[in-house]
Amino acid sequence: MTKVPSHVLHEAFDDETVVVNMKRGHYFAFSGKSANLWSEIVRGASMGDATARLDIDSPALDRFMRLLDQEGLVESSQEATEEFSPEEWLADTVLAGSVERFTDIEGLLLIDPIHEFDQNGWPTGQI
Amino acid sequence: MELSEAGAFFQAARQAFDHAELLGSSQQRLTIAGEGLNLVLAAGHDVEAANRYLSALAARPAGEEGGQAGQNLTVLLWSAEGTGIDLPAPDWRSSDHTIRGELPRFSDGRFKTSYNMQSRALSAIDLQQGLALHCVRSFTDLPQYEWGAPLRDIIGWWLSGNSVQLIHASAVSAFGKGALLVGPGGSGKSTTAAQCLRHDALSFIADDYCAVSLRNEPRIHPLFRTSKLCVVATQSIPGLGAGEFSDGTGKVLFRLVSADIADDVPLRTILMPEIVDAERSEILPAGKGQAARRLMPSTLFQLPGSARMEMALMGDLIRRVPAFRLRLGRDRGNLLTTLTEHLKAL
Repeated sequence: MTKVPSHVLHEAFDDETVVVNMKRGHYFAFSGKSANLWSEIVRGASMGDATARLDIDSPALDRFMRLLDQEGLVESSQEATEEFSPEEWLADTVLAGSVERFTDIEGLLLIDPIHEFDQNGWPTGQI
Repeated sequence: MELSEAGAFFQAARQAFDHAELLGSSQQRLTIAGEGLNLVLAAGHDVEAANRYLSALAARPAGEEGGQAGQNLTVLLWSAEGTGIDLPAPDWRSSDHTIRGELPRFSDGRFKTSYNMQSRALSAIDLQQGLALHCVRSFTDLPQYEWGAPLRDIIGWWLSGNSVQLIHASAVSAFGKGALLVGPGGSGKSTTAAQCLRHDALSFIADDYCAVSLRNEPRIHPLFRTSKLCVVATQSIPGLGAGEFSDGTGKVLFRLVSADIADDVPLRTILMPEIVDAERSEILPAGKGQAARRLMPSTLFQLPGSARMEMALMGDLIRRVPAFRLRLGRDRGNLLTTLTEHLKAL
């Protein structure tokens, strides 16, 4: 079963679902089919049932799942066979227009962790 | 009962404060966001700077609001250089810090600990005892963001236990109704809030951070008496005076007086400012998801706390309050009229 890791937070609203990857600093807006798929994943539904319910074919679902895995939004048991760029994901014909990816917070995570320590062993934030 | 690793560290840091306090201390009993706050500051040669730092809290003397002031949270403060008493030597690596400055190894259900490497400030709280510790290297060389939001981590931890969420947003009010201004840096939320200072109908509540209580009707609470503005933006705000603490990014921190800050009010609208190439401002309906994207990530990544609980609280807030796009035109008078009319109509 596909699991959502603890560092991924999500809230569903009427118009879209907001999904935040706290480790990478990326966040996503899922609407339409991608929001429905995400909802199925969160409730632990069988992906076979989901494809039938949401009228999405298996290759498209498989692609979506591997992309979620690549973005660190799910813990998947599948082994990645190919990598997609975020642009490819956003342009996916099945999900086109239903996924937005935001990286404007990422900068907060890129603060250089290398720093000096003072005489008592406290990190100073100075490189 | 044996203390957890987090508890043992808290106890060691508490003992450091006890040593720092041997030369004396001063106390302030305040109320902030409806909760009592008892500040105990160890005497040190930088005590004047410390009091100046604490004066940025948008707090009232205990008793003015008739609450349980001074009984809810006690914060023990000292500076290592001012008192000559340092914290216990840390037992962690740089990789133990989260991006939000938290130290998960020293945090559990009862204790929370954060350390800011840039400001060299340690914050810790024992939620069970209602006791917090705040130790800085020196109160005289804190960075601008510390002066703008003193005790931010501690206040956030404490309030969240009472269904009050600290959020990254500015806030204004009119006719007893409050508006949150949410968005990334540069979207115009600080400048919009500052334009409401000393206006006939509109009032300033907060810049950058405020608290929203969700126990009953959502209410906005001011936390800090500061405003951080671009120098250019300040020219259109009458009587703002000189700012202080330029951070090298063109932004200047302004200290406000208590008369500048409105009281807490019911939250009636979430506004998402965006600067547009137009004379006139306008307010248009927006989706909940868009409001969530403007509010949630920047709050989650900037403020320590239980991210999962914060996300749920902010989700609740967004579902309960209508959201709008605020398209900011160049005409300041028109912006203020647009805001006033929007709040009046709610």
